[in-house]
Amino acid sequence: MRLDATRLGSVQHWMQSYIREGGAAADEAAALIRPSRALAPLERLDIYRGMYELRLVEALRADYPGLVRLLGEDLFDELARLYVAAHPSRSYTLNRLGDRLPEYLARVEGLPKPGFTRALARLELAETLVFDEEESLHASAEFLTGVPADQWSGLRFRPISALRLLRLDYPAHLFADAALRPKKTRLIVYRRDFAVASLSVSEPAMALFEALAEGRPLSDAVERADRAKESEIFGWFRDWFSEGLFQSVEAAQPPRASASRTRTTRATRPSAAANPGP
Amino acid sequence: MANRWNLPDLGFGAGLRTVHFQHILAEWPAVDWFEILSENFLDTGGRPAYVLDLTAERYPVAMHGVSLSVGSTDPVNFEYLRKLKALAGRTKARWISDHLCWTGVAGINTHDLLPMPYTDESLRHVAERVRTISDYLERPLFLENPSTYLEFAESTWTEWDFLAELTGLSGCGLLLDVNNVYVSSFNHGFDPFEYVDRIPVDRVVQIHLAGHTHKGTHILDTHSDHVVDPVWELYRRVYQRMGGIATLLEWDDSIPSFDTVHAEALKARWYRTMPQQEARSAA
Ligand SMILES: [Fe+2]
Repeated sequence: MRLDATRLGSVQHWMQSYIREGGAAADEAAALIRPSRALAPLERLDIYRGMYELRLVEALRADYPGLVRLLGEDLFDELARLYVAAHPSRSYTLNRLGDRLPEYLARVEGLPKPGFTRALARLELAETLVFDEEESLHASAEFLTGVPADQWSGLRFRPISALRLLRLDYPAHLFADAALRPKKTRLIVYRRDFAVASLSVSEPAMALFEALAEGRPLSDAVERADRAKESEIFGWFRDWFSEGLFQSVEAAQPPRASASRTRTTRATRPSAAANPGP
Repeated sequence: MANRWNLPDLGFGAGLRTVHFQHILAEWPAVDWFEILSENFLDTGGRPAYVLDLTAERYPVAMHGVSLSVGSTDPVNFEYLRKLKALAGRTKARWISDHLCWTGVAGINTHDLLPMPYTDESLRHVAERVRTISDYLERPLFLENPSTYLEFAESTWTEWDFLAELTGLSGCGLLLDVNNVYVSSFNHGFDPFEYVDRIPVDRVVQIHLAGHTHKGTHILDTHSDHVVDPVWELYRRVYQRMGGIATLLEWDDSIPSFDTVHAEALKARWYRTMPQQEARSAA
């Protein structure tokens, strides 16, 4: 027996197909639905149609916040609507609605930054799966100390359930981290060998560098690096010198100041006028 | 005035929502009870499950679902019921509720509470499914009146008479959503007081209160705001007629702090105790 063989069944099948797919339905709606004081039958049904798409798109937005950020809301919503039309929910839960989105995006042509978009989609799917997995017990490394050496080769390791392994073509986790999780960040942005680069530093290192840039002597500057260890400070200077961040170092009494100058040469861009035109 | 199952008036509760997890774990607020959205906890073993277990140790919990689809002409989903039953056992749920609606056919879930035609055919169909479901769950099922945005031309029952008849035919109880009564009364032009006056007193174990969004031509049940005064007046009427019934404030969109949600729920206490005349002059 067809499930829509009853009157109730046929009403439900018709209504669901309109809610999902739309189309010309004014006559059927007028026969099936009473008008209200303010709305025609089809307008009343359209309330459900509008909410259907919105609800599912919102569920996908919640699972793929990085993709929303990357693609922009309009493009993401458009893709989400197409995806939902192709893969409607068949579950009592919305949690797994987006499970096939990475696979779906792999088939969409004309995506901006397609390789990166797909990597990010796979990462966000893995995150939702890991979020919902069963909690496992955690083995301790101390267990290994009790195992005789001759039995090590036969050990088998079973990972926790809430874990997935991903090989990606892009470091999508950096984007997701940066775009979605606010974090106080201190950067030295600089140029080296004509390439622009940046170096992320701690707050004490930043304070110290700021003091140096203001022209303060080393002892003053180091005081700004609140409670940093000497070895740490040496490490920072090693990095800064190796990245070529200082053009000169001047001693307080400069008898031999010129000897300490480093990186004084300035290369110049070849001017456009120097290029012979065609 | 007790319901026929002698289920208790749990007091004034709030929904257990993700955005409040941190606050709840840190403060264990003095709320009387929690309602959980069943589907949010059926398939997760992570933080939601952890928070739920701790919550269920400390507060009475009732389960409220949105995917039962009791009015659908699709087969009953016993896998879903199996999980519901297990969750009810784990949380010692005081009762399980869902809505008088259907959510999809042909294996699809629209995740919306779609309206039923109120016909004899629907009545028989839903009553039979309620019996099947409560037999499986080994407990009564409580159905909520949904907010609806359309009415079927073929309906021969009012919603309140349909619900009253259904309780007798199927043995189910009711979760009376006072805001939904108000929303539907505006959308369809009926008297909300007549509705609540016709609901069988001994079948109601829980009340929902919520805010909504007025669109001019119709009202949407958005759970995104404070409860409006006319809904409080309906609540007062229900209390005067039915006595104290476990009351829950639903706030699911633009969710404010837990304290704000809880304070809104506690307004219900005031509406229970304040006679109408005094309330009018105090307002
Ligand atoms: Fe409700």
